[in-house]
Amino acid sequence: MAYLIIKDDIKNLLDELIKVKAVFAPKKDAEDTVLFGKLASGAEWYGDSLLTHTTAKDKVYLQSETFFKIKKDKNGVFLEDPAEPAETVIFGCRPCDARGFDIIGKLFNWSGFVDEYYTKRIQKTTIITISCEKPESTCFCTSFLNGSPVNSTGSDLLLTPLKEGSCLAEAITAKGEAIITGYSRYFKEAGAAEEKAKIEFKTEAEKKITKKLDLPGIKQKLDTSFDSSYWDTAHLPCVKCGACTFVCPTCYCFDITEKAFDNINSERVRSWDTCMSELFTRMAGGVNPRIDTKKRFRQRFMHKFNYHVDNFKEELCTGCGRCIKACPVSIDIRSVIENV
Amino acid sequence: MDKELQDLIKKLLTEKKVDYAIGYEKAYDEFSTRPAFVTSAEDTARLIFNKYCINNLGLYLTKLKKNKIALICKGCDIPTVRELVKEKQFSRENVIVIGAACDGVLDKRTGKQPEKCLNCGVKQPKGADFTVGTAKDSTTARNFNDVAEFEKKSSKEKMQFWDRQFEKCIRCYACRNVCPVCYCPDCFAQRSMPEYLNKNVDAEENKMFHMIRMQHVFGRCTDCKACDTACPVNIPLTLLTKKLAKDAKELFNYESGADMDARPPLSTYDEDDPESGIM
Amino acid sequence: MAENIYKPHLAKVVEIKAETGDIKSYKFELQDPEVRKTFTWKAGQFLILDIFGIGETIFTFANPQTRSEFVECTIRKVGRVTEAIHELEIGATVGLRGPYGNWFPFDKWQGKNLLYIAGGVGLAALRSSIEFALDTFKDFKKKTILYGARSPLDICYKDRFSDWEKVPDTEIILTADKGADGWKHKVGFVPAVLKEVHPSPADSVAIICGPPIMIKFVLKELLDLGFTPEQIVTTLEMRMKCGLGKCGRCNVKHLYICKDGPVFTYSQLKDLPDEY
Repeated sequence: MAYLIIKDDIKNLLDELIKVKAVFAPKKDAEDTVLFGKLASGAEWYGDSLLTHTTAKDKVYLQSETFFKIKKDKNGVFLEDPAEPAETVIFGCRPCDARGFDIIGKLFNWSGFVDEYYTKRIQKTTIITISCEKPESTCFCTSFLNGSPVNSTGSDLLLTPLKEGSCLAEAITAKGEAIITGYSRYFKEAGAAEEKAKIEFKTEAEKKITKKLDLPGIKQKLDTSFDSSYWDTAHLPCVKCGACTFVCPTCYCFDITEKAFDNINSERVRSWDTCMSELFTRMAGGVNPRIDTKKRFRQRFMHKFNYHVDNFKEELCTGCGRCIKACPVSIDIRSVIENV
Repeated sequence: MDKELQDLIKKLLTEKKVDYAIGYEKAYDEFSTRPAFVTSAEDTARLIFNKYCINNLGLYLTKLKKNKIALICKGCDIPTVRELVKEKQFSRENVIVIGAACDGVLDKRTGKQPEKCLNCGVKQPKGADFTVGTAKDSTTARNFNDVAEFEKKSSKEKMQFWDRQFEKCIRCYACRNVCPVCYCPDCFAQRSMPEYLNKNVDAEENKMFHMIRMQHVFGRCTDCKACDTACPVNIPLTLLTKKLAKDAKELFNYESGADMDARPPLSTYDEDDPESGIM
Repeated sequence: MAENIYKPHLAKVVEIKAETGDIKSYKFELQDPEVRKTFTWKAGQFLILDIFGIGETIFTFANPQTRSEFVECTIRKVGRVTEAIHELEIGATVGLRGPYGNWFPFDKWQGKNLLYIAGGVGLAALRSSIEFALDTFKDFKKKTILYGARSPLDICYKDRFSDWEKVPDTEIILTADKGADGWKHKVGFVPAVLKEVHPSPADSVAIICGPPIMIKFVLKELLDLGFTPEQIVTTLEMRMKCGLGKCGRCNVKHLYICKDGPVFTYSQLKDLPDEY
């Protein structure tokens, strides 16, 4: 069952949600940076940009997450669990961001090992996604199976802007359903005309995405190109920073370190890490299997479009194109893998 | 201008004067370029120069130390080459500097000209081995007005401003990795024995990182703005790098990458050295 | 929800023994009696040792499941965490989590000759396997241990060899890259000694661990001797953080050393790129 919500009511809905949950939505600051920030009122939501500079990933998979607190004194060692995560709403992310949660969620449950920090957070998070009306030149979500500016994978509630200032609201999960039933005064039932309008929206939006990758073909090429001389030159412009990996909705690699406050108190912390860093694979003593910048560059693309496909039958990428925009030297992930 | 540039590089490569030409090529759309590494005369057709050529290619000199390189530089990138030569990171004989006349570049993130272009005295490059093109006007004197304006703020205001900036920082190290003078193979930020910086990303650790980096590049940073334009979350690092340039100028009458013979301010001692920088 | 996979069990250091100048062996006793009963592993698997206030790092279980009263690790001082471990005193509290990874496939080795080849601290990674084989010696034919270190002083587990040799059909061959006064064993690199010893590949398995350069030349020797890639087994080491296939750094192609390894046959490895 689909519903309609008028755009003015979206702000009212946000104001209501703020009262009971932590609501994160795109906010614009003085430097024109648009990031997911905690809303104090619905009016703070900035809905005019297609993509935020970084993803909403860090609202569920924190960039630095305290696993537990450690107290070590003469009476022994005591571990204290962190507080339970709060009920959270991520509002206004895009289908590519939402699908990222679906992809890393599988990793965090891989082979029977359940990552409880991620799992607890995602269970308490409601993801309200807005379909993309104006995809940009860096977008390539349609290259992926089911990828589209209206894709609902990973979302709890999908809003698709239609003409006449209203959005079609579709509950994808029970959490999405709960938003519609809990705040029913803002939603009215949609008719066949609106559902048809969504199909037109999809066609129009998809037309704007001109780049389409042959991902099965690329996977096949990558299978045999590990030793290709292509990598000798392809990596040269790359400066091996971690911008691409940190703005990515699917990059999940992490490090576990200790944050010590004094000789007694410390915290075990997980922080995002990046395969671009020399430190990522350097062992104590200095041996490093990926010491070459070339090897690290290759690893990123191989992981996303080859190794991860072997393990999970899907690419570690949603086609959001953020890495292309964030790259200080404008490396285009699409052409890197197409030109192998 | 592209043709002139391509012909020159074709000649240098054909005559084996250089192994690599590092220039710009079109990136993902008409509004973006990326560094291009060209090794053969046949491959020069992709080289371009336009107002989207924002990267400072001097960055790559320390990564290709053993090679002879033709490097395309805007007027504002040339001090980087001088600084690296001065720091003995690269031999001047190994680099042919091709100056590209530039009427200002556009930041791909904002579509606007960065502050350095509005405040530029080297649109027509100075100190290049070859120059292509002619800039329209080239005589804006450099000023530090924006930094001076910022200095007027109270400590509390400054702190609030930077706290807000470093809260945004994701410690991707793009600023460090695009910095031509941040070439340390083992940056303090990744040392484990001792551990100067915790991997934990929060405003305090981030601030620590940026402050130490700024200290490390004082008197070496040419204020090229590579770090500022590289930041994926638009932290205005230009305010810091320009402050470094201003302090070097005002306290030590020194400009990084300008005079090959001047001694860097932090490697000399004079009884009359100002102490205002001591915390 | 099930147990938190990142949370360690508390354990106490009950014994410390200096093996060489920079290698020490530790015995840890799990604090919780319930955990002590259920915490089991198989030779070849590894654990993550947690030095509170410093951090975590990975080690193989030095003792096999047949001698599991304590958890034992042999640790060389190479970095920040191992330096802190070497500072530990008896009674100190540490954390343990695991076991992780796969194990040596003893069920496939029934009735075979076992040839262990180790260099330096690499013997620690094979000790659990060696001692398991010795404890269940009737299941195997000849057990040969070829072990080399830089110098006689760098030989690890010196005082264990006499016990090992008492087990029927067991031979220990020791070598040092450089000899010293009173050294009664061989002098020379492990691959050269291997060539001299000339073991037969018939009905045998070679299990190797040591520095990469040793492994490289030992592999060549073994293949020359007629061992097939399926008959050669090794255990790999890479930087690891989670031990669970999630942190993303210990992969060789799509395989994660922590989850799909660390034990591999050479027939698996030879088709993988040299990125470990």
